[in-house]
Amino acid sequence: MAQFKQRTRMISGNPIVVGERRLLPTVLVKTLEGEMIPGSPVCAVQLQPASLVEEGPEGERWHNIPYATRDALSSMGAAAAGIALAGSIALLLIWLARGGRR
Amino acid sequence: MDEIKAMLEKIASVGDQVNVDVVFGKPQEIEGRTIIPVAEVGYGYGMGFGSGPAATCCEDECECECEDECECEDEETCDCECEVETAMSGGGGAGGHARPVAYIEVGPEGVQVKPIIDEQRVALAGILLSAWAVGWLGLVLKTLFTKR
Repeated sequence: MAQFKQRTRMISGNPIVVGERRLLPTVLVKTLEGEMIPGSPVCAVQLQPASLVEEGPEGERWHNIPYATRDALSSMGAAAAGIALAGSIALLLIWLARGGRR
Repeated sequence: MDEIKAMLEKIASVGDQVNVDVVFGKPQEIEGRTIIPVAEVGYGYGMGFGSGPAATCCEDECECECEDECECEDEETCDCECEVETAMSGGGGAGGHARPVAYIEVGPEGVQVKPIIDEQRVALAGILLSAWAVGWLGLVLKTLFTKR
């Protein structure tokens, strides 16, 4: 029987030094590991950049790492779901306006 | 068998050996500015092993079927010498991907994180969304103007 274990961790890397600035990156790590059948391991790891902490002469600043492509695709997916919902409601209204019979 | 077990344990620990440097690349100096590439990285593997009898020669105590490693010494007296060996086999696969997400630009004015858009994927999704919207609109209009 398949047994899987999922873990989500936030890890920070070594500071990147650029001039007077130190940049501390953090990464979100999602791990899925398990065995489909005993003795047959399966593992998948996904590393997503999460944020960047900047330490400079002006002090400390936190930078978000945007994922523009994923955000755009998510918006389009939401729009597609909205279109399907609106279309279904329109079809339902037409059907009800005609007496609700086939 | 111990070697395979050790190999499996070593491979299984890959999930724990995560390096941030694969996501945040090496800083590059370009025209007085420092650029740090940022990517989303994913990888995975799967494998399987199995074992079973390689040769079963004597199906019946008094019948000798000589194949492969089996030796039939005397058929009349049913004197068979059969070897049943265990065979092992296995296979596996692995894959990975990396997609650029953004780049960090460090210049005199400070640190800026600039996103990277995968225009090809967004354009393809836009075309599919348009087709989806036109399809639904067509279905609603067709239903609306169809006589009962």
